[in-house]
Order: sequence, then structure tokens, then C-alpha cells
Amino acid sequence: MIEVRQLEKHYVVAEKEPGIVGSLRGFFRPQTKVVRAVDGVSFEIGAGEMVGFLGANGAGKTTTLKMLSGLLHPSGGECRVAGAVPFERRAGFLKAITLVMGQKQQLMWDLPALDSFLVNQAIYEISDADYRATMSEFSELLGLEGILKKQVRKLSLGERMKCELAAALLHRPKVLFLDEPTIGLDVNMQVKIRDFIAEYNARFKATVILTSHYMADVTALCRRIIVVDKGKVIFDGDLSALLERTSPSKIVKLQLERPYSESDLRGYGNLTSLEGLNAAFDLPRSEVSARSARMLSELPIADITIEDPPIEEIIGQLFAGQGRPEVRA
Amino acid sequence: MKYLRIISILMGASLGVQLEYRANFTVNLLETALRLMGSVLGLSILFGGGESVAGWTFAEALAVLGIFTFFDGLISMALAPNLNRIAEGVRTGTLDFVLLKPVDAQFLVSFRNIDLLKLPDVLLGLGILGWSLGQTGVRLENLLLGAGLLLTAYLIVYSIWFALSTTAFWFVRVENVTELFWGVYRAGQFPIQVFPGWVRTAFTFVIPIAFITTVPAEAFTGRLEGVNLWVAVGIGIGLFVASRGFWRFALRAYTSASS
Amino acid sequence: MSQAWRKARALFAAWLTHMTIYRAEIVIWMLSGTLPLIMMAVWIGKAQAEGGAVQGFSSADFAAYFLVAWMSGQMTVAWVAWEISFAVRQGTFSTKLLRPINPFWEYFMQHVTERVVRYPFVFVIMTIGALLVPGAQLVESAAHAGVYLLAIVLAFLIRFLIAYCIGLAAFWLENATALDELYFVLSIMLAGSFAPLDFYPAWLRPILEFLPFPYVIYYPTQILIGRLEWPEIARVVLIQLVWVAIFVALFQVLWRLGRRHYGAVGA
Repeated sequence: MIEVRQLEKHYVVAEKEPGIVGSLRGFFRPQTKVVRAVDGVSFEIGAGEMVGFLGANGAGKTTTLKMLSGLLHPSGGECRVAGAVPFERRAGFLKAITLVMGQKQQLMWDLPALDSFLVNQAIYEISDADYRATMSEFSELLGLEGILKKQVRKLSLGERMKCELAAALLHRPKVLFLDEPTIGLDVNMQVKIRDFIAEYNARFKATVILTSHYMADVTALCRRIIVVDKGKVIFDGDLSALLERTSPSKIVKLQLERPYSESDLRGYGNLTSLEGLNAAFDLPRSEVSARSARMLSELPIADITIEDPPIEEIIGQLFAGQGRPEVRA
Repeated sequence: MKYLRIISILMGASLGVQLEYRANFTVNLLETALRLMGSVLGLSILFGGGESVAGWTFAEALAVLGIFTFFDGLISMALAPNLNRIAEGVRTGTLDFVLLKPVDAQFLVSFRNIDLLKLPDVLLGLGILGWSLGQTGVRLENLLLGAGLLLTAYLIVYSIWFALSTTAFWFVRVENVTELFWGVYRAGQFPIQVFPGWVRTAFTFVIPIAFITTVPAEAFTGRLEGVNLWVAVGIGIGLFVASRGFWRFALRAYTSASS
Repeated sequence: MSQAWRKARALFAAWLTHMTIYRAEIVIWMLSGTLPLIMMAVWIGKAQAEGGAVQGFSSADFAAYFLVAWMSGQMTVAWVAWEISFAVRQGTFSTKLLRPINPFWEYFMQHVTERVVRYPFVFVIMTIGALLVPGAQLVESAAHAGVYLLAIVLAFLIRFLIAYCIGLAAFWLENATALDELYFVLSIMLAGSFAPLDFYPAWLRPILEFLPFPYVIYYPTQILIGRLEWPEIARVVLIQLVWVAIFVALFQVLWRLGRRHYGAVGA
């Protein structure tokens, strides 16, 4: 569905030193440099797949999505989405995709969302029957009743995002580019949006690329993730594979029935914290089962949990270059 | 001179931002020059080869145009970038931060920003005034009198703008109110005497455009009637006091947007 | 019902609702465009001072010219350069690019619907103006009024297309609004807002003939107040058509080039 080969996007930007002197110098002799926002990215995504697209701010995520949706002209390489070259903006292609940007809106600010929907219905040439069917489906999934006839500027952020999503998906695109669709929303609303995306994917077999700062979005929706850093792909594969490669350890947390001293517990592995009856260990993956079995037999344990380190940390390690996995799983 | 220090710090910061927009700066300079050419063209079309219009020679009328351009630039440079923000502050509640500072709030909202893009307008205005006075010749006492009247004119302009911007406490879109000001102010590029009777009266007493451009120009060119000097000072001080009173009254209506 | 018609109708309906919400702003923008009215006062003042007429133009002649010039300016307003520049900087232009329709049509419809709201106010003000200045003959004949409407439609297209091309400059420049103001100043100066072109300096007249500006305000105005003969009117309309064609072509070129460039700034 999506094929990307050696995709590049370079910008020429002006550089400026701080302070007034720097400003003045920049005014009379502007310095420029080339920023390689996307620097040789390749991947393929099949129909119906949901892929998390991760990376720090400025890693090139949004630029890539904009090239895939035909907004930007690539500086190099090529990409095909739904069988078309995005930049040509053929009507058939534009009807097959959508790009949702959490911070940009397409709804007309001063009108009820319904008016914008009607405009989209005409622009995307959606028949009345399809329009009604889609709208009733979305109303049910997103809970749109009662908010469609209010002026958009009077909606809460969450309500607005629901309407934005509905407007963006009204033409039932086959390919969804979702750029921070849950940004700024409360946890409840995040879950709702997430469920909606999952449901849409299931019903329409749509391909989804998702970027989000909230790892919960990614772990809930995507089995596969692609991690970019400084315009390059540094990981592409299953989330679980990423965890194994980058994080060779797991966290074992114990709740003890009576207090032990630090020295008593050191023997069981790398003790990372001990507060009252709660102890935590950082253990190599391969030894987790043996060591926890030993703990269970030798210590009076009220409760034991074995967890992966938080995914934010793992991604953080990836960017820090620690344990950078040169893998293509 | 705490207040002078505050002004210089605040303006230094906004200066840095603007110098980055190099292309804008050039285009704006071009625009100002062009607009000035337009105004001179308009004036010369009006004179149409004749010696004088309504008692003003072409060179003298340029003094009015110079002062007009000077204030046009000054408003865009120092007043509008600040006063237009009052509306934003009221809407978003950020005015709270201003009111919390141990500095006079009116002062702070009036002199936070400066739009240096418009500095060339100010300088060009002064340049035309200077050229005009060079042509007609000016006596020292008239120069001082004119400079003094520029100050009262500034007071008038500032007070009108400040009062218009203060309406932001009730109306959300003040930008539009100030648009109306520009629409009327545009009449100030001509000496007030060229207008037919009732228009002249309106621009003198209803909206004192005459005291912003024509009266200082009369002082520079040595034709000011003594009484107008005092009227100008009176209007300036009166409007300033009134605008400050209006501001205080408006603060009582401020609800500090809660969302 | 053809798809194109459906799209036009949907855009029209949505934007008309939007514009009726902003009717107060539209009136204020209208009232702030005072230059022709100020110039009218100035020239009437001069005519009165010089015994009733300047070079054969009476107070009533000036009143007719400037009132109609004001109306012509109002009827052809185009602010699309500002819209595009703003949308590009805010990144909302992206959402327009995603749709299977050229953003041109949405902006066009936005301007058309604004006219539906603006024109009634324009006519009210014109009526008041005509009553205030008795003797000013604003309309030569019904036929002239008809051709005037055609000339105004073409004048609007010229202004809109020029503004659109300037807006597309936002793909290259950080901010195209300064360029827009530059153009605005030029157009005010050269379209005949200061005076009927008869008063402009002799060296400037021939140059103006080769610029689009007089064809936006001066010539349409002259048509309505009946200062042009019919062959001359035909020439004016023809040249307007040529200008429309030129700027359509320019728009096509800029659009193609600009899209490649889009995204290099902000967005």
C-alpha cells in the first residue's frame, strides 16, 4: 500500500546567532545551511497494517507524512501510496488518503461542523446514501450527537478533535496518516479516539501510520513500529523485537512481608531501589525466570511483578545511541 | 529612570525577532517609499501646476505630508503593536500578568513592543518635513514651537489609540475599530484648509485630525494663530486625562478570562 | 446534477453562512476604505475655491466620479493574498491541499459570497451619497449600467487573480503580506483614486495604459458615469479580458512551481 525508497527532503534555512548583535549580523550577511529533515528513508507497509512512526521532535516524522500525502515534493528518492505518486495530487489518490494533524484544523471555525461536513461531501463527491451511512456509523462510534450543530469554536478540544476526525474520514480513505491525533486531549478522550481508529481499521481494512507522543496510543494500536532519528530509520520491526534488542533487562518488583536489609537482597541481582517493604531489581532478560523463582522460594513475598522498562525510556535510549540496534527485523 | 530602562529592555527583545525577516524589511522599505511617492503624486495632481491651494504652497503642504507620514510610521511602529495586543490579553487572560507587575499597567501595555519594520516610515516623514522646511526656510522659534506641537499631537494620537484599544474590554475585535481610525486619519495628509467648510469643522472639533498634522505644520511654517497653540495643548492634555480615566473604568469591567 | 455544480453550491452555502456572521466586520472594512471619499472632499473644496470648477470639472462631476470610484473599489475587493499567506504560515494551507479540489475555488467562493453580504451595504451608502450631493449624475443609462456590471466582474477577476499570484509568493517568501501591501499602494495610486486620470501628469498617462490598474477602477467608473464612447468601452472590456488571460496564465505557472517549493517555509 505504501512504498518508500530512499526518500529525502532537504531545506535551506537561515541561521541566526542569539542577541541583537547576532540579529544584525544575520540581517546583513545571512548564513544558511542545509537541513536534511528526511535523509534516505525506506520502508514498505502492506494494506491494513497499523504502524507506529516514532521519533523525537524534528526527527522527520511529519515531513515524511507530508511527502506521503502529497503536500511536499521530495528532494530525492520516491514514494508510492495507494498505487499513486503522491505529489501529483490526482483526485483518485486524494480520495484514497487522509492526513489528520492534531494541531491543524480543517473545520470552518465559525460554523457548525455539519456545514464543513457538507462541503466535504461535495468536494469528495460522496453520494447522499454513503454520506448518511458513514455519518450514522461515526456518530455511533465517536458519540457525535449534539455537537455537530454547535459552532466549532464553541466546542471543547476533545469534541473538536472528534469532528476533525470525522471530517477527515468522511470519504472513507484507505490510507490514514495520523500526526499526533490525540495531542492535548485528556486520557479518557485519548482512549476514545484510539478505539475509534482501531475500529475504523478493522471495518475498512485501512492502512494507518500513526505518530504520537503518547506511547499508550502506539502500544495499543500498532504491532509494528518504525523509529526515525535525524531523518534516518533506526528501527523497523515488531514492538516486542524492539524491546528485546534494546532493553536486555526486565524490572522485577517485590513486595515483601517483612523488612530486609540491602545487603540481604543484593545477592539476588541488581537491586535498584528499596523503600520499606518494596524492592525493585533490574535483571537480564535471560535470567529473569530463574532468579525470580529463587526469590519466590527463599523470600517471604506478598506480591511480585515483572515488567518491561517504560517504552519512553527505551526510545530515549535509542536516540541517545545506546545499544542502537542495527536491525531490520 | 526605571521606565526608560524597561522600555529599552523590552524593545531590544522584540528587535531581535524582526531583523530575521530580512525580505520583509526590504519590501517594507520599498512600500514606504512607494506610498510616499503616491502621496506626493496625489498632492502634485491636486496642485496641478498652480501656485498654491487654500493658501498653502506645494513646499508648505509637503510639511503637512511629512508630519502625516511621521505619525503614520510612529503609530505603526510603537503604538499599534502594543495596543492591538490589549484585545488579545483580554481574550486570553494574559493581561493578568501585566496587571500583576509593580509597574503602571497603562505604561506597560503601551510600550512593550516596537515594530522596527516601520522605522523607515518615521525617518522618511521627518525627512520630508526637513526638506519642506529647507525649501520654505524656518526660524528657530518656529522650529521649537513646531517640535512642541508635535508632542501635543503625539499625545492626541496616543490618547485616541489608547481609548480605541481599551474598547477591547467590551468588544473582542478591536483591530476593526482601529481600521476606522486609519480611514479617518488618511484625511490628515492634506492641510485642513483644502476641505470644504463642514468637513473642515468635523476634522477640527469632532475628530481633531487638524491638530495632529496641520497645526504643527502651521507652527513650522510660521503661520500659527496664537489661540490654536493653546487649543492644541488643551486638547492633548484633555484627551490624555480622558483616555486614562477610560482605562481605569475599563479595568473594572475586566473579568480575567477564566478558561 | 453535475459534481462541479454540487461542489460550487456546497462551498457557496458554507461560506455565505460564514460571511453573514462577519457582516459587522465587512461593514467596518468597507467604511475604512475612505481614500476616494477624502479625495472627493478635497476636489470639491478646490472646485468651490476656484469658482465652481477645475478644468471643466464641476463639484457635481467630482462627486459622481469619486462616489462611483469608491463603489468600483468596494465591489472588486480581494484579500486572498492575505488569506493564502496566513494559511501557509499557520500550516492550514496543508489541509486545503489534501482535498481533491484546487484551493483556488474555495478562496474564489469565499470572495463571491462576501459580495452577497457587502453589496447591499454598498448600495445603501451610494444612495445616501447620491442624495447628499444632488446633481451628481452617477448612471448614464441602463445600457451603461449593464456594461458597467460586466466591467466590474472582469475588474474583480483581475484583482483576485493578481492577489492570488501575490499570495502564492508565500511559497517562497516568509511572509507575502508585505508584498501585498506594496501592490495595494501601487494600485491605489495608479487606479485613479486620487483624481480622474485626466488630472494625472501627462508623462504618466501613457504608462498607465499598459498597466492593469486603471482597468480595475478608473475605466469601469468612466463607463458608468458616461464619459466613454461605445467604441472606447468595447476597447476597455477587451483589454480587461486580456489582463484576465494574462493573470490566469501566471497563476498556472506560479502554482506549478510553487507547489514544489511548498513546505520550505513554516508549515
